[in-house]
Amino acid sequence: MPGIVRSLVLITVGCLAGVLLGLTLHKRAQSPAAPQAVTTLSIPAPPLEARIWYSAHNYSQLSLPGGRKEVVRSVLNITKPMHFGSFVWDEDRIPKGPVWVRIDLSRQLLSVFRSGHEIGSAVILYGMDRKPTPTGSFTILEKNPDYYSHSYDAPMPYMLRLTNDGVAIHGSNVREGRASHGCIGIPLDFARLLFAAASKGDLVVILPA
Amino acid sequence: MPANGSRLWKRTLLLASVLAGLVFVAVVEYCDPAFSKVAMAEIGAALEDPLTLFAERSPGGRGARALISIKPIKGPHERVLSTVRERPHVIPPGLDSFVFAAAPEAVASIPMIPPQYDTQPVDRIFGPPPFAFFPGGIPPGLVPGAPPSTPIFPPTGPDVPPIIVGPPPPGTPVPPSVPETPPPVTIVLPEPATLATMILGLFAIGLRRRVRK
Repeated sequence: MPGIVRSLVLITVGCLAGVLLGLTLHKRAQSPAAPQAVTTLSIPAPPLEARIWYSAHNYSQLSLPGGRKEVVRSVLNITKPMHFGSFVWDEDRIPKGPVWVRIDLSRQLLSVFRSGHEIGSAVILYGMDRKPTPTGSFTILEKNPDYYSHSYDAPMPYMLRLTNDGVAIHGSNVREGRASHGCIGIPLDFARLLFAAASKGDLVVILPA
Repeated sequence: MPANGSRLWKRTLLLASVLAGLVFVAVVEYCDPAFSKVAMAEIGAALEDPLTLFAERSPGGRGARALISIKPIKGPHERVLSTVRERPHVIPPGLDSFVFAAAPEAVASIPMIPPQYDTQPVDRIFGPPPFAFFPGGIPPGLVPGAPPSTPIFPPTGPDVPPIIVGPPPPGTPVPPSVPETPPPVTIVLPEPATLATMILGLFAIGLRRRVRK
């Protein structure tokens, strides 16, 4: 009996391995062709490795607090874990349109979307436990490229204010093991790019840790 | 079945299964392209879901460890004598009407508490705080037994009698001094039974050495 069981297991494992191998080989054989995903906008397809495109009839969606969903047409193709201080920004050939920001505290990531396409992503710092960052949906109340916090006697470059009690997105020295007093800290260069892309009134969503 | 034959049989079985899987994929792909495209699309969608991609690029969650604030800690840089000021100013019984006069210059010479002792009660360092003698009664604003609002220095003014520090004038009843009890000295001695056992043990060791010799 054990011999039969072993044989069955061998057969199953073998078949699965064969199927996976076949699919992989088939996918590789098809990869040089143009991506099957086609956007509804008339723009030439960017290099395949720069971003992942979703098909026009099968756009992805991201759930927001309150039950709202935002359509995602493409995301940046970042396959390796990002480290503190790093960011990716690619708005090449992405059309102008509404911008919204998604901040995921549990993953320590910030993503910027424009017209449904992700144009930027960075690792963030957020509030420590005794000064937590609020979660939910916010709008950008104020933009200030050279703001100085008198409460904390510290600069807040490229500040995008989210609340009236001082929570904002701003440039910071993003290093592992650091935390803010409630603000979202992003790398300085990324903050400059985000400041240029975002406008007052744009949606910012902060998901809890 | 001999061991070599069994191993060969297993390898053959495994190889046959892998080949079967490959053949299956080939048949599905070239005989029914629609099915394979739908299958590929579904598998691709599952693998390329935004949340999955975000999880791949994430550095992980922030663990519960010591965190350095990116902003400086704002607040007073000097410590205040909060514990001393909150300590109740207790006057021993029988002394609330007996106070000694204090001269302004003598009062001014009373040293302020050094910073290193600012958490300890005053009377542990300099003894009981000085009292002022007011023959006409305690001026308003200075309530005996209550913590002074401006400690140490009572209010002065044209209507307030002068305060003088020094020996009391002759004839002034001397308040009973609080005897200083020396701190209890603790001498550590073993109990008699413990001591006896220890001595007995030493004797036993000595006796055993003698017997061995």
